[in-house]
Amino acid sequence: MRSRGERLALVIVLGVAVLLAGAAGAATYAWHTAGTVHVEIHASGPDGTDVDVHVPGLLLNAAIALCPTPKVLDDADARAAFAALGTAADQLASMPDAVLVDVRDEESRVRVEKAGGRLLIRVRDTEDRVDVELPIHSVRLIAEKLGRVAKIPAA
Amino acid sequence: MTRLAKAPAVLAAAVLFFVPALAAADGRWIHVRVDEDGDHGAKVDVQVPLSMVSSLMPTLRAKMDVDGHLDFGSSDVSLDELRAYWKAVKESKDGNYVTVKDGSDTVRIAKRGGVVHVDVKGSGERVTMRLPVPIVDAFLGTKDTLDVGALVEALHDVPNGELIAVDDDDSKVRIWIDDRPSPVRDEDTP
Repeated sequence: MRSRGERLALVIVLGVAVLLAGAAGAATYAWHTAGTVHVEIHASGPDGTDVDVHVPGLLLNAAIALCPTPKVLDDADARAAFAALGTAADQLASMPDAVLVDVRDEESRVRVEKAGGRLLIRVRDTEDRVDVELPIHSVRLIAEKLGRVAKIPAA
Repeated sequence: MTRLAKAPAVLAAAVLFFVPALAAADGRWIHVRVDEDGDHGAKVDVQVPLSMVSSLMPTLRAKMDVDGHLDFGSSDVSLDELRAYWKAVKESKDGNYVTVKDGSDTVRIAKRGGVVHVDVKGSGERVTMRLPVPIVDAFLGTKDTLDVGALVEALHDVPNGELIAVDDDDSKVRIWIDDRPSPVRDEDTP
């Protein structure tokens, strides 16, 4: 038979364990649903470079949220464009998967595609290769942020 | 990349004038395709939901303010003149009512079932346009500028199909609306 103090300690330990497990589960879920930002750049030739970056979408989303917005926006064109982007992002999220832009010639190809909750931008050249993969949710956050910027009054 | 650079210019002109007009109907897609002839010609495909274009209307509308005048190369036509020409076309009965033949060039303008058909054939060039009367009516509007907003409203009833087709010596341009996105054409790289 445990003493009352031991039982209390056990309850506290179990409570903390449940909290930690819940937090870890929530973090894992958020990490998973936020997706991954992937940027891969390959440039051939003597000065060629190879860059391959994988960033959790969660970090990007946090950065977007923490990014300061300007206090004044004088450019009316920019304001209109930002406002439009904010709305267009909603359409991007709800549309079915599709290749939106595909431009190609003998030497190069540029493709912008929505696929499985991601925005894929692919650039191919005879020498260079660029692949960018963004979670649609992050694109929406960026657009919403820009939409809020659009509401900032001019000086 | 020089050939590739030409295509976006054609595309931009097409998009600026026709895509905004098609933004009204949700669930449908606007497709723009530009093909340059030859094995090395550039190929451009752009397709977006009309609803998305509608979202971008405020930005596009600002780019289309013509301040009462349209510049057609060497001639400067006022909107009022253009409206007068259009009124004459609109009020004509259905039928082939303009046919101009000049050497190898032929221009035909006909109106059938509320749609104006413009066909231009020249040496190595062919232009086909299908313009529903209410759309052009709304687009020309009554203000000092082209009325894109009214045009968008008028487009609710435009049926699916090809609107613009331009074939010339070395390129083809198609603009059409459809219920769904098209699959990617050939998968050849780069």
